[in-house]
Amino acid sequence: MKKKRKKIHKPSRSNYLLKTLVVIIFIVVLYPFITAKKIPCANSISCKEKPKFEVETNATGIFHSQVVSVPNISLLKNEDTSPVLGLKTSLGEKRIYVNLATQTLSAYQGDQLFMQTLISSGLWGRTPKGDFTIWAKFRATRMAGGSGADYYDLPNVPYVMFFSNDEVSGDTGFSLHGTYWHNNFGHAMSHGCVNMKTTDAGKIFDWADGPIDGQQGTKITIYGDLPE
Amino acid sequence: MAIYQNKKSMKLKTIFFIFIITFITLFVFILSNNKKSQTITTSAATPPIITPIQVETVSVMDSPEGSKTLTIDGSLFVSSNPDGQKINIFKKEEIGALKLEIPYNTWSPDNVYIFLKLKTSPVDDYLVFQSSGDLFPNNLPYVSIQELFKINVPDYTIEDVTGWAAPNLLIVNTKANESDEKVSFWFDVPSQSFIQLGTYFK
Repeated sequence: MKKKRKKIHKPSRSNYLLKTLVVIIFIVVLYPFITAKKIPCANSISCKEKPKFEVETNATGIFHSQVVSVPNISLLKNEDTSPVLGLKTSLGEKRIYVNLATQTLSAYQGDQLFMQTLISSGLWGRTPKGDFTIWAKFRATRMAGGSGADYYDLPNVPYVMFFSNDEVSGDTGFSLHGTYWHNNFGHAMSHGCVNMKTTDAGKIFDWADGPIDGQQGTKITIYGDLPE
Repeated sequence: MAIYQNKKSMKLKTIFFIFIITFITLFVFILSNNKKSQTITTSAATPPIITPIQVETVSVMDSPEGSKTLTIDGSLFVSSNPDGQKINIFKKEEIGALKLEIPYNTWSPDNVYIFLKLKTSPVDDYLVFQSSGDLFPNNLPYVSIQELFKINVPDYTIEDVTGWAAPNLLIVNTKANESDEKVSFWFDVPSQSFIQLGTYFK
C-alpha cells in the first residue's frame, strides 16, 4: 500500500517537465495548421476539380435565387489567342491593375493604356490583393458557390482568366471574367472574382497572355480597399 | 513537515504548469484571431497613378454583351448591332425639357430593360423603359421609381440607383428619413415592388 501511495502523490520533477514539453511541442506542431491562411474558394467547382473549358447550350443559371437565362457561347470566333512573337519586347510588358477602391481595371502595355473600365469585385467574398499572374485562360467555364440566398450556379461564364501567386493557388477559382447575370459595375458585387462587362472581358482575354513555354502569364496587381 | 513541503511544492508546480499552458493557449488564440481578421493580401502590390475614369453618365451605352446600343440624341433610341436597326423608345417631343441621362449600368443583363436618370429637384428620379419600346401595363412608356418608392416606402429617401442585380432587379440605395441608416432595396420591375435587403450595396 505504501508503495502505491508514493507512486500517486510524488510525481518527479522530470515528469512535469516532460508533460510541459509534450504540450509545447503539440502546440508548436498544431500552430501552423490552426493559423494557416485558408483562402476561401471563389468558385467551389475549381476547388474540387481542375478548371476546364465548358460550354452548355440553352442552359439556365441561378444568381440571387433568380433563374437567369444563360447566353449560348459562339465558338465561331478565332479561338487562337496565342501572342504574336516579339510583341512583348517591342511594345513593353503587359500589366493589369485592379483598383478595389474605385472598382476599376486598367490594362497597360509598357506605358500605353490599352483599356480602362469599371469592374465589380468581391462583396460576399473578398477579392485577394497582391501581385498575381494569369494562371489559365478559358473561353468559358461553369462557376458555382456561395450558400443560402447567396448561392450561385452559372454555366458559360465567358472569358475567364484565372490568376494565382505563391499564396493563392489557381484552383481557388479567383479570376477576371465576363458577366451576364448582373450589370452593376463600379460596385462590389461578386464572390471574390473580378466581374467585367462581357465585351470588356473579351478584349482583355484576347489581349492578355496565359502561361506559355514556361513563361508566366500577364501580371495582375490588385490593390486598394473597398470604401466603408 | 516533509509531506507539507512536498504538497506545497506540488501546488506551486501545478500552478506554474497551468500558467504556462494558459499563456501559450492565449498567445496562439490571439495570433490566430489576428490572422483571420486580415484581408487576403499576399504580396506588396505596386499601384500605378491612374486618372479616375468618368463614369457618371454618357449619351451612348452598349449593352454588356455588345448586341445593342442605347443612344440619347434629342430622342432616345435603341439600335441593334451590327445591323443598325433602330427602335424609338422616347421621341424628341416626349423628352422635351426633361434632363435625361444614361447611367453606365443602364442595360438590364438580358437587355430587356433600360433605366435612365432624370435630373429633378430636390432628388433625382429614375425611369425604367422596355428596350423593345413597348408600353408597361399602365400604358405608360416608363415606370418612375421615385414615384412608386414615395408611395410604398415613405420612411426612406432614394440616394442612388446603381444598376441591375439580376435581369429584373434594380439596386436602389436609400437613406432613412429620421436617421443615418442606409438601406438597399431591390426594385422588381415586372411586379413594380420593392424588396428591402440586409446587404447594403456600396
